[in-house]
Amino acid sequence: MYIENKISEIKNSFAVDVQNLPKDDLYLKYFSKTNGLVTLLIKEIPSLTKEDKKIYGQKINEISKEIEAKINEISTEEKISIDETIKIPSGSKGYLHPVTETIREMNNFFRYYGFSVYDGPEIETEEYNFRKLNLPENHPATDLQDTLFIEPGLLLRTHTSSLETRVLTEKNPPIRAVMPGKVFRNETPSATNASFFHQYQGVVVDKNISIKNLVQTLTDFHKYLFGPDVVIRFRYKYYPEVSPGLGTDIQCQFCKGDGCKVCKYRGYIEVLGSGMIHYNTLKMCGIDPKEYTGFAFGMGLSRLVMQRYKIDNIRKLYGGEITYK
Amino acid sequence: MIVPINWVKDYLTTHKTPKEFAKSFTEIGLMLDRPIMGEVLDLEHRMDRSDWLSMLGCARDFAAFEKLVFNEPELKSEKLPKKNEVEITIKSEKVNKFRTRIIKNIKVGESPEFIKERLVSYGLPVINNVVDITNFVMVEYGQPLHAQDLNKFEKKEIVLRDTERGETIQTLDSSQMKLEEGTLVLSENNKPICIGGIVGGLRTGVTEITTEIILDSGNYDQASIRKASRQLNIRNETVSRSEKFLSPEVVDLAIVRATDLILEYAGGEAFENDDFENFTPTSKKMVLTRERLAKISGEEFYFDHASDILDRLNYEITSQNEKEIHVKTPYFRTDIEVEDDVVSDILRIYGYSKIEAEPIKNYPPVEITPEILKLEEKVTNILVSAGFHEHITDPFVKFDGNEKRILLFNSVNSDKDSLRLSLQETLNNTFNYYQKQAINEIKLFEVGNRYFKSGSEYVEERTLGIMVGVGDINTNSLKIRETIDLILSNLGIINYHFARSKNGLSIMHSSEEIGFFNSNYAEVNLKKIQKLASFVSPVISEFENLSKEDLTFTSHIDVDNGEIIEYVRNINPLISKVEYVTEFISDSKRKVSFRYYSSYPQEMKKIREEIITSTHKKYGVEF
Repeated sequence: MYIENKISEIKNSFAVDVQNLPKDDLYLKYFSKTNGLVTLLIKEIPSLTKEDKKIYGQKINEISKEIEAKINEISTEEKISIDETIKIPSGSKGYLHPVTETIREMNNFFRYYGFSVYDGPEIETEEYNFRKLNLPENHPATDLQDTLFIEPGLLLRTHTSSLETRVLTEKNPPIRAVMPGKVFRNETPSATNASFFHQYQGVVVDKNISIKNLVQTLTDFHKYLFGPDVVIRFRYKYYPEVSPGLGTDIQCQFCKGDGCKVCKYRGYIEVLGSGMIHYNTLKMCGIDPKEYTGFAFGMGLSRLVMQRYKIDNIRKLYGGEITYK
Repeated sequence: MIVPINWVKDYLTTHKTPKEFAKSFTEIGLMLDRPIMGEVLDLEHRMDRSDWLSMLGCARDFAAFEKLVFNEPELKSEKLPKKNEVEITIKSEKVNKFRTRIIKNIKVGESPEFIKERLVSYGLPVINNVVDITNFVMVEYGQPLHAQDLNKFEKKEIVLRDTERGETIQTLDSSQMKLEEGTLVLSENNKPICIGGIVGGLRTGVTEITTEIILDSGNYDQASIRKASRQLNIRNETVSRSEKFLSPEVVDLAIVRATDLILEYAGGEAFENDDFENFTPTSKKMVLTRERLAKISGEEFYFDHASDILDRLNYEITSQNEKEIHVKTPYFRTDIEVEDDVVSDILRIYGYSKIEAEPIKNYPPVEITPEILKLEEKVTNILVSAGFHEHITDPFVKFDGNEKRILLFNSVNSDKDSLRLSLQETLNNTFNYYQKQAINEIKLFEVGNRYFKSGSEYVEERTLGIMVGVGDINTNSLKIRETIDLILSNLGIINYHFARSKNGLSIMHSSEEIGFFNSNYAEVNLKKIQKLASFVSPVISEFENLSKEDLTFTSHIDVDNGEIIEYVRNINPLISKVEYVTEFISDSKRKVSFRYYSSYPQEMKKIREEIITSTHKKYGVEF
């Protein structure tokens, strides 16, 4: 049968062509409007007898769809000629400073617990840096020796506690805020002391805040920072701006509390200082200490950061003498 | 604070090991500071508790915490016959209390074993019985005192006064010292014999031949002592106590205890001599309420333990009921200011390790994070993603005479006695460090303050500094400008332009300068861009089909072409954007190519003609 032969001819030639011709050429050869092999076959349908139309019309349709589908399956993508199993290093990598990275990690924890991040001036008055923290004139901690003054009464903040008195003065309770920041000291730089470094301060003031809330918050924070198995120790510690004051240590992970070189034979490593905000501090910041209570904590970041990033000298941390791999 | 355990055990009975002692001391506020040395502890002393500068003070709190019986030494010679042989005159404001006693017919010799042993374990030298006893009592009570050989006095007087200019003294350690004007001294016959609260003089010192002594103990203005000892550079056991807020009342106990021991171990007869007092007693009346204790501690039950704990800490309970306890605070507690300090004592002695944790139940308060912090975080993220390393550099620099620069008043470091005016001054050190390491693609930034004087104001300004070293000067310049665009476009600040100004090259937003740059450094005022920034990224929901075309014009080599390209952008509202393509110099002229885009393809020809005629007319450049 003429038409049946035609169909099998097309089938056979496509089976060969599909291996050798590119997609576009295949399409032209079989479906070109003027002389495509399939197109021509379809054009013959009207001239068939009624009976043949019945049998072959359907067959022609099937073969047309089959070939079209196979052509469509062929991918037109470029073929790769290089080895895709080789790792390629990025030429341009940027990193956050270790201090920023650590601050962000801490902020993440506190934001989850409803804390805002707050900020304040580095050039500060004695009022915010000392007086409101319950540090009267002539207190040993307010010595000229350790403070960098710009002029009498005006200084570079010596601790982030000045940010605490800022937020307590500038905002109304309830307050929940953490305050990372630079602090400055009048010191000759050494491997462990710099004339500026970072501290991290936190404060909560609300109705019915007790020392139990402080212990919970700091326990959770230490677990977040040092892992869930960390052993925490709370002890009495004096700070003028809190009463009761509280020191927080973690058990040395090297000696498990027995005392070794790493923890200077204390068995524990001091992480932060904290306490219930002093009655006088709240009062001086314009908050009624009878109605509101609160807690505050502050910690140095340099030692923590240097430990985490294995940096042995604080001057490298800030002197630009760290590069990144 | 050195605490020999054997010494503490003079006042209480326990079989605890040094390690157990250290653990309890640490919990109540005297943290173990150094490795335990046999039977001796070195504990961290914070400046609040002046009574912890004594063995009795440490033992008292330890006994209270461990519920042990605490025994204070029995004082015998409280009342003595009075013989005012040495006249005491107070001419300084710095004296709160000064008490003297005279002991005659003493025999200077070796100290008894128990005193020698305790002084050695504490780390003080053994000298002779009289000197050793004054040292022993100083450590026991925390109150410095000292003895002088009365026979070496030229006049029978002690005058406490502030020094005049040029006075000197030879101290006990034999060094000749020049005294600053206004230093408190004890003097006789107008010659200093002792620096008050700091160190004794050699001339009137007690030696083997001494038979008659005057014993003195004083309480002085702690801030002046601290200042003077620092000026003189003297740190010793006397200074470390007198510079704290000691209770003036301890003077009486210390001088009686010293008299007792001298009479017992050096013999002789003791007499009361003149004394002086000018202070308010330390002991205060206070009320501890159940309510406050429960509020701070979060627990009701503490109140049931309160009176017992207060009693153990030597508070005098004057009355109490279900709701409150009225107390008189102990004379030696100069640290107690408010009711919460009493609360603090109760929690501390009950045990900090027993405080139970409890989550905050209150609803989180409103968010108060300032926008500038969010902006800084965003800018930092943009730069880090673009391959820039963040650095934090030391903001101190050497003063250069620039009158805008803030000079520090008291810096100990003359190389870093003022603050940076620009982040470039300090970021540059880091840049140089990278260059030294032969790193050839350097992209750095810092977010921090720059500082300057503006009239009488001292200003700190949140600033971003960016520094690049990626190729030759032209490559760096392109990178700097590209980075400025990266940041500003990401913040939705598209309508900025560059202009020459007194800062060199300024980054402008309409008529406001928001930053400046040069060929490898850019600085942006973060507060200013925060006001212009949008935190909504420029999203387009429908893709614009833009037609584009390039044009090149020729201008004089010295012309600033940035303005011309800016001008082109605004020639016709149908121009969507204009971009710099390239530039080159030929025949001493600069040829600048730019590309303009429009979503109206049929208007492209018209726009092109308009650009050419209009720009030529305004700037005279040829296309």
